[in-house]
Amino acid sequence: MIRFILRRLGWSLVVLWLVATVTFFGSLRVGDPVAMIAGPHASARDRDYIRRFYHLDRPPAEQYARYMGNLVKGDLGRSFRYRQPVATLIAVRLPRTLLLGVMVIAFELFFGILAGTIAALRRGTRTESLVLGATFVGISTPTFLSGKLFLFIVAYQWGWFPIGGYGDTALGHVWHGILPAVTIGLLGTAWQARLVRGELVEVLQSDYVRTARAKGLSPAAVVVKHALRNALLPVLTSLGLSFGALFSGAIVTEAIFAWPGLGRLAFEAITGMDLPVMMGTVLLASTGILAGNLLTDLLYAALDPRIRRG
Amino acid sequence: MRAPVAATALLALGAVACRDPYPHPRFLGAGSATPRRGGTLRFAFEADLTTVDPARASDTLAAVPTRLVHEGLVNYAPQSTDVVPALAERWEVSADGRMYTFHLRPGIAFSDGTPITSDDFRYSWERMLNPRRIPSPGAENYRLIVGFDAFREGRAAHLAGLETPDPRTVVLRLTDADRTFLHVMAMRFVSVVPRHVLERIGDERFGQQPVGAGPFTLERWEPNARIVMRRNPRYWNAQAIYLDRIEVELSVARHLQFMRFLAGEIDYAHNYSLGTADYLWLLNNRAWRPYVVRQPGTLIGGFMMNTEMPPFDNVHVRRAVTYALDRDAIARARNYRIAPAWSLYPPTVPGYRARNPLHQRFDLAAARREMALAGYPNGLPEEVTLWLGEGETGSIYGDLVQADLRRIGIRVRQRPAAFSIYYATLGRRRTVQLAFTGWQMDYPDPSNFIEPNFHSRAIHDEQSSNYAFYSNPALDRTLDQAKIEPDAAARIGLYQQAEDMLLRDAPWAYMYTSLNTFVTQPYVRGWAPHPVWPDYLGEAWLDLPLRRYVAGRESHRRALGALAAFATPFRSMGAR
Repeated sequence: MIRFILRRLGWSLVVLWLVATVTFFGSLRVGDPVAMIAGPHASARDRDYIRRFYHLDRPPAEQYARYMGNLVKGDLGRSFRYRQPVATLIAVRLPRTLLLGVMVIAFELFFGILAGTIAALRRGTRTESLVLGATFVGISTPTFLSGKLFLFIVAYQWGWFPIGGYGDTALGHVWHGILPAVTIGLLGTAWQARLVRGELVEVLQSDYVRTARAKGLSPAAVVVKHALRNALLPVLTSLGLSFGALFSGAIVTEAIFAWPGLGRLAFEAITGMDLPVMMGTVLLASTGILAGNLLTDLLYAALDPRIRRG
Repeated sequence: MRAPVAATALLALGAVACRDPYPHPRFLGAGSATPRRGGTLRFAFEADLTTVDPARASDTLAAVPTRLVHEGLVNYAPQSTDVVPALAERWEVSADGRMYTFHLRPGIAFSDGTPITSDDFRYSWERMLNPRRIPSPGAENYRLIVGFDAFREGRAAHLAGLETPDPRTVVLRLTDADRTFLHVMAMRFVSVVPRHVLERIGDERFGQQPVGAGPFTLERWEPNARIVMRRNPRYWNAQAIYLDRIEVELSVARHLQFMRFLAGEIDYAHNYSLGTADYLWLLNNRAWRPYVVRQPGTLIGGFMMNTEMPPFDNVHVRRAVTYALDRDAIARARNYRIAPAWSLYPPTVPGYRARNPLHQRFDLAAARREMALAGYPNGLPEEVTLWLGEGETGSIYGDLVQADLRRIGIRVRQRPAAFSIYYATLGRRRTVQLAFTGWQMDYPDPSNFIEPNFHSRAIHDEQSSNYAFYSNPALDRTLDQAKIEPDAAARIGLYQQAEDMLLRDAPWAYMYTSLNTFVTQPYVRGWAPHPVWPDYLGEAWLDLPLRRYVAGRESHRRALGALAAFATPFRSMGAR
C-alpha cells in the first residue's frame, strides 16, 4: 500500500513538472506582459525599465531556471500587476473558492442522491421520466447560460437572492454563495442522480435486499440502511474526479456572480498576462485535480483489494 | 390536451420572467437646495484593483482611488481643463519657460497628520523616477527635467533639476520650454507620498496600504471584493468634500452592475457598465432619462495605415481609405454611443475645428479617383490584413470596414488578437499593414494626441507608439516649435497646421470619438463627468434622507422629465 502511494505521488510530481513547463513556455509565446503591465501609453524607455525590473529581458531558459528554482523552494513568485506574492493572492482567495466548492459538493450529494433514489424507486413511472429528463437538461446546460438565468430571474426579478457579490459576514458569504453553488453543481447533481439511479436499480434486485425485505424491515430502512449504502460507493469515488470540473466551472461562475475567488484571479491573470499568477493558479488547479484522483484511487484501493495488489 | 397546458405554463413562466421589477428609480432625494454632508456613495468596476500607488497606477480603475487618495501640486478646476492650484497655492514660470517655482500652501499634511514639506516632493518624485525602485509607466512624461537621464541611469544620486530652497518652495528646471508641462504636473504620477510610511512598509505594500494627501483615505480593502474610502478631514480643501465614504466594488461584471444599479444597490453606473441592451433600455425609459448624462469623450478611434509597407506606402491608397469609410453607418451600428470623427482632435480638446475643408469625409467617387491615381483602378491585387483588438466592438468595426473597403476594391482579411499580442505586434516595425487603433487622452492638449502617434521621435523598431511609422520632417518641426510657443493662440494654430498635414498625408483614417453615457441615482447631486477625470466623484453629495419613488405621484413629473431629457447634453455645463 505504501509503495502504491509513493509511486502515485512520484507520478503526480512528474505531471506537475510537465504542467509547469508547458504552461511556462506556452505563456511566454502568447504576447508581451510588459504591454499589459505598463498600459498602452507608456513610452518605449519606460517599458524597457519595466522589462528589466521583472527580468523579462532575460532569455526564456534563464527565466525558466529562475522560476523552477524558486518553485522548488516553495516560492511562487510575485504578481506583475499586484506586486504581491502569488502565494498571498491565492491564500486570500482560496478559502472563498473552497467555501463555494463545499457548497457545490453538498448540493450535488443531497439533491443527486435524492433525485436518483426517487427515480430508482419509481421505475417505469412518469416520475422517473421527469427526473431523467431533468438530469438530461442539467447535464447539457452550460454554466454561462444557467448562471445568467438564475441571476436574472431568481435574484434580480424575484429578488429571492442577492444580485451577485460575496457578502460581509460568514452567514452572508453562504447566502451569497447559494446561486453560484447551484449553478456549478447543476451538472454534478444530474450526473450523480443518474449514477445513483443506475446503481440502486441494480442493488435493489440483489439477494441481500430481498433478504432484508423478507426479514420484515420497513421499506425505508431497506433502502436507506442497506441498498443506498452500497449504491453510494461509486458516487463518493466519482466526487474525487470532479475537481477539474469544479475549478473550470468556478472560472465562469465566479465571473457571472462576481464571487471574488480563484476563478476570477485566474481569469484576470490570463487576460492581463500576469505570468506568475497564471502559473500559480494553473499549478494549484493541477494539484487539486491530482489530489482528487489520488484520493479516488486510494479509496478504490481501500475498498477493493484487487487494485492494491495490481 | 397536454401540449396546450405545457405551452400555457411556459408562456406564464415567460411572462413572469419578462416582468421588469424596477421600471423606475426606487428612491428619490429629499430635494435639498444646498449640498449636504454625509452618506456613502457606492459604485462598481468590472476589473480588479491592482494598486493605489500613484507611481504605478496606469489603468482606468486604478486611476479612480488613486485620484481620491492622493494629491499633487496642481489639479484641474471642476468641469474644466484649466490647471488650478492644489497643494501648491501658486506658481511662477520664468520668461524662457524653463523654470517652474511652486509655493506650497501653509499647513498642508498627509492624512495621518504628518506635515508636508518640499522635501516630500523630492522624495516622491525621485522614488517614481527611480527605475530600480518601482518602474513607473509614467516616468518618461518628465524627461524634460534637468538631470532626468543621469538620475534614471543611476549616474546621479539626485535629480539635478529639482531644488527645494526652503520647506515651502519647489523649483523645477527644464532642459527645454514645454507649454504642456503644467498638464504633466497635474497627472497622478507626481502625487506626494509619505516617506515615513514608505520606509516602514516598503514600496510593494504601499500599493495596498497607501497614505496620501487627497480628499479621501483608504479605510478598507477586501481583495477582489471592495474598497472603502473615508473622507480625509486633513485634506487642504476639506470643506468642498461632502461624502463620508465612497465604496467601490471590484470585479463586478457589467450585467451585474446594471442590475444592481436598478435595484438601488449602487448609486452610479458609468459608460462601461452599460451593455448595449442596458444603454438602449435606459435611453428609452422616461423615468430614468432625467438622470442620464452624456459627455463627449476624449478617445479618438480610427485605422492606422503603415506608411512603410505596401500598399499603404502610397499616399493615394491611404486617402482612398479615408474616403471609403461610411462613418455615419459605423456610429449607427454602435447605437450612437460614438460620434463620427473627421479629424484628430476630439471636440473637447483645444484646437478642434468643427469645419475644415481638409476634413476626411465619406465620398466613394473620390475614393475611386484616388485608387486610380494610385495605379489600382480595379482594386488591389493582394489581400490586406487588418489587425483588431479582441472583443465585440472590434469585430463590429472590422466587419463594417471590410464591407466599406470592398467597394473600392480592397479586400480585407481580419486578424483579431488578444490585447497583449495586439499592442506588442502593432509597435513592431514593418509588421502590421492596417490596424484598428485609437488614442485615449492623458491630458487636454492637442500635443498629447499628435506627438505620441505621429512624431518621428515616437518611431522605434520595437514598441513604437507611432504605429503608422509616419515620418514627416515638416510635421516634426511644427510640433517642436509649438511645444515652446508662449502665445496660446499661436500655439493652437501650429497644432492645427500639423493636423492639416496629417489630413493630407492620411496615416490614419479617423472614424469616431467616444460619447460617454453615465447614469446616477436621482439623489446623487453635485456631480457631472469631468472632462479629464470622468469617474471622479469626490465632489458629489447625497440628497439624504431618501424618499421612496411612488409611480402615481411621479406621473405629473414625467412631462417635466421629458423636457429635462432635451436639456441632458447641457447638464454637464450647468452648475448643478
